Amino acid sequence: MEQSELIDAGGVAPQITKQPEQLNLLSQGAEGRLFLGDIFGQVCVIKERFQKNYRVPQLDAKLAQQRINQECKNMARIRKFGVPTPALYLIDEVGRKIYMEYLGKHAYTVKEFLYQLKSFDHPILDQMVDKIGTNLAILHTNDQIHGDLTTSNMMIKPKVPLGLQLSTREEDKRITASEIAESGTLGDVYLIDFGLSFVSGKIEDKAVDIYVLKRAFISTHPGSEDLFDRILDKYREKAGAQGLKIIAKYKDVEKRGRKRECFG
Amino acid sequence: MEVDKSRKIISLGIEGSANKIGVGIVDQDGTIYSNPRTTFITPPGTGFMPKETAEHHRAKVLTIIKQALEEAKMTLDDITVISYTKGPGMAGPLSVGAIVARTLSQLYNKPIVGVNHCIGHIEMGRVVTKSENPTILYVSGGNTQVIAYSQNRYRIFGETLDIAVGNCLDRFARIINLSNDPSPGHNIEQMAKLGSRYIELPYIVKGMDMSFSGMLTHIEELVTGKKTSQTKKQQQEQSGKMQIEETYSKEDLCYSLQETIFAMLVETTERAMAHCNSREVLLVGGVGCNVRLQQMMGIMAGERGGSVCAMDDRYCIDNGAMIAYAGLLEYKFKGQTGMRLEECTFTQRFRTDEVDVIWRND
Repeated sequence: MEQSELIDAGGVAPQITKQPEQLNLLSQGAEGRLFLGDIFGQVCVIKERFQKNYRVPQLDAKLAQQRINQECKNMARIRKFGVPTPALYLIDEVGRKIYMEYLGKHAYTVKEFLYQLKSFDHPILDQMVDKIGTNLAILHTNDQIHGDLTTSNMMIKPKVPLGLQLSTREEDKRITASEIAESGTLGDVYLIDFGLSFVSGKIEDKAVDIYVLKRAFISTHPGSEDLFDRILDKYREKAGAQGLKIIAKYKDVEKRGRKRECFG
Repeated sequence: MEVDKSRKIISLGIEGSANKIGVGIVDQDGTIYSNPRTTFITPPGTGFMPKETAEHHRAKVLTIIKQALEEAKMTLDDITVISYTKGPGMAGPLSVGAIVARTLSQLYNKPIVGVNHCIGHIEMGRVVTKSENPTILYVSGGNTQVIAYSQNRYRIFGETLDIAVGNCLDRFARIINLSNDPSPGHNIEQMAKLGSRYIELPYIVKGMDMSFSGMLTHIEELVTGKKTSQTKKQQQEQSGKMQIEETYSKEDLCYSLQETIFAMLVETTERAMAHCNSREVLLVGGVGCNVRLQQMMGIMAGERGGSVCAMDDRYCIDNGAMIAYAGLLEYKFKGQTGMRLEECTFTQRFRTDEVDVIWRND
C-alpha cells in the first residue's frame, strides 16, 4: 500500500494502474516479469524488475536502478534513429516498473518465428535479414550498443492486411508464422529489452555485440550459420567504413573465444 | 560387491587434465565402484604449473589405478573399456592419462575411448541427479559455460569472455595469500562466511556472456591500496575532511567477490533458462561445490518455478568416474567399439559443442 501512496504523491494517476496480482503475466524473462495491463485506458506491457533474492540487496538495488535507467534512456534514444522499439509510456522507479507499448497478440519473437517456420531459406527471410542487418547497422553507426542481442529480443510485428483474411478466420486467433510468410510481407522488426544497452564508440564493444548475437543465433537455431552470415553481410553493407573494422574486430573476438577453451 | 560381469559394461576412466589425477570404475547404470584421486597442491601464493603437475601425475597414476581396482574388487580383465580425458586441459598432465590408457589398452587388449572433459561433467551430472534436460552451468578453474542441449550437441549459450571463474578465484586467493589446501575456492568460501560488509566491485555481464579479468585487477588494486571502492564524487565530498585510509579485510573481500561473481553466474544462467524455456539447472565443475552458489541458484530457480540439481561435491570436482561414464556412453552407442589407436591423442583445445552426442535422441 505504501508504494502506491508514494506514486500518488508523485502525481501519477493511481487508478489507472493495477497491482501486479491483478494483471496477466505474459512471460518471465531473466530481467523481470512482463504483464499485460493498461494505462489511461490504453493496453500496455508492464515490465517489473522484481527483487532478486539471490543477490545482496545493495547489488540488486544498484542493478535494477541502473538497468531501468539504461533501458528507458536508450529505448528513447533508439527511436530517434528510426529503429522500431516499443514506445515508453511511464516509468515507476519506486515500483521498479516501466510501462510500454504492446505490440499486439500477432507479434512474434524472431526465435518463435524461426521455430514455427522451420526453414532458414524461405524467401520471407530476405526481408528479415534486411531489417535486422539494417537496424543493427543504424544502432552501431550511432554508437548504440544493445548488449543482449538474441533472437528472443527481436520481435516481428506483422503488417498483414488482416481485414482481408478475417472473413475466413476467427477474429481472436493468432496469425501463424507460415501465414505471415505466405502473405509476402514480414512487417516491422522491433528491438526490445535494452536493460544491458549503453552508448559507446569503441569498435571492441560493437564487435562483442555482434559476437553475442552470433552465439545466441547459432546455439538457438542450429544450422542457421548461412542466415547469420547474410545478416552480417547486410550489416557490413549498411554500416559503411566502420562496418569493415567492426567485422575485422569481431573475427578477433571470435578467435579469442575459441582460445579461451582451456582446462579445468 | 557382486557384479554380473557377463552383462554389464564396466568402464575404467583416467582423468588428469588439471591438478588432479583420478581413476574411476563405473557401469552403464552410473554405479560407481571406486573413484580415488589425488591433488597436486602448491604452497600459498603459487599456482600449479604444467611440468610439475605432469611429474606429480606420473608419480601417482599407477598407484591410483591399483587402488581403484582394489576398492572395486576387480582386475583389469573385468574391465570392458578404458576411457581417458582427451581434452581440454594442460598438455603435460593430459599426456600422462593418454599414455597410460593407451598402454593398458595394448597390454590387455581392451577398446579405448578418448573423452571430452566437459561432457564427462555433464553426463555424470545427469546420471547422478537423474535430470533429463537441464540448463547446465559448468564452472571450474578453466571453464565457465552456460550450456543447453539441442539436436545432438551440447550448445554453449554463454561463457566467459576472458578468464574462467575458478581461475579468478584461485588467483585472488594467491593475492591474499590463502592456502591451496584443499582448494583455494574452499578457503575463500569459508572466509566469506565471516565477511559482512559488501564492497562494490565491477559487474560485467554481456548478454549471456561475462567477464572476470577486470574484476580481478580491480580487487588486486583494492588489496594493494592503489584504489578504493569509493567513487570520484564520494572522494571529492570527503576531500577537505580528514582523509581516511581505507583498508579492506580479507573476509569482506572474499564475501564481496563471491557475492558479485555468483550473482553474475546466476543472472546469465537465468537468461539462458528464459531463452530456452527450461526449468532445471544442473551445476557442475569445481566451483559448483560452493554452497553459497548452490543456494543462490536455488533461490533463482525457485522464483522461476524450477529447481536446481546440485551435484554431490565428490563428482563436481574432476574425477575418474565421470570420464569412465562418458567413455562408456560413447563406446555403447558406437556399436561397442572403441577408437582406433592413432585417434587416441590428446588436445588442449576441445570445445564442448564439438562432440557429437550420439547417446541422446531428444
